[in-house]
Amino acid sequence: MSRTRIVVADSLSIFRSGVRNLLAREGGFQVFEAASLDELEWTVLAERPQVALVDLDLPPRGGIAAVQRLGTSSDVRPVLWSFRPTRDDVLDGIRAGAHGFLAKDVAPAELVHALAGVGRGEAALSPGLASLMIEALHGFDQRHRASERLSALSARELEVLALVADGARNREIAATLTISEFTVKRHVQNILDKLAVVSRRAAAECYLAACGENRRSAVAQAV
Amino acid sequence: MSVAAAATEPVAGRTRPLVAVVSNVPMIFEGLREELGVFAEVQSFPAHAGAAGLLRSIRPAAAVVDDEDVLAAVEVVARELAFSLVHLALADGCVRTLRDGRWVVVDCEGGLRPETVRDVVAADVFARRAG
Repeated sequence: MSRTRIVVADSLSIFRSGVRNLLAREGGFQVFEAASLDELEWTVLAERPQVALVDLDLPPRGGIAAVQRLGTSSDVRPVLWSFRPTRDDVLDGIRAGAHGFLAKDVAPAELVHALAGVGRGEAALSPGLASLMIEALHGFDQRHRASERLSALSARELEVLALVADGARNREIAATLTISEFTVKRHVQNILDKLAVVSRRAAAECYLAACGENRRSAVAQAV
Repeated sequence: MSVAAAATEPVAGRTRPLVAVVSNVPMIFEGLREELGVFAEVQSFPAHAGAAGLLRSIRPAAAVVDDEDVLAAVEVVARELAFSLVHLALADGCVRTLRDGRWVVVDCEGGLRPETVRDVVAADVFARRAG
């Protein structure tokens, strides 16, 4: 029986060794290691692994960029792994071409099962991340609907709404955009009318829904 | 025999020093147990609130901890029982060790190499035993 060929791409040596030791003990796997995207690409080219286990923080530009890169240049099936991925991480990773997403504190038996499955063409998702994935898909639908609503706004109205979502008051928005406070009020009223909402807060919610989780947490930190 | 040497002497029935890996990440233990197993008995313990108390009762020769939340409590026990303590900082990839009562950075460039952890644990354990 042929062995499943796997490359473990992680900047932390201890994780590469951990997976290598585990799979060596398990048998049925041939393991290669890479500490960066360059090493990963070279290994994929030279060793033709079927599966790549890729850390979300793989240098230099992260695991999602690495997965996208692999997708254009090889047949390897990438699986991302990370400690506490956000739902956007999971969704972005899968959309980039990952065949799975695993939590980095995965149990050894679960990791072996998942990697062997991906080698046979299956997908791999840690149980905790499956619900995150479903949330992410729901969030994606909401984002899509919110984006459609925002498409009715002019560029200037979008600028005003972005500042509203940041918690700025009319006077601050006027100063930032170098327009009068009266004009800001008129823009805000137009925004409420076009989005069919009755408050600035609801309009801001619509804007944040369109922007996704990363923008939402950035705004929450700013406020 | 000094307190430190006494703490790292094999406990009754234990022929090799015991190294406790305190972590909630199984791959950390998988990455270390082969290297540390060269000279020690290696056991995995979950990193939770009771970890320090557990170490107090089993009296290891060394503990390797990656969890920031339990590190302070384990450090108290390590100072009290004079066992070696190595911290693996997952966030910045640094290996630190508690040496002569102070934290010393061993390596921040190697990406937490198991060989580095093995060398520092072995050096600390055998230095205490010799002392």
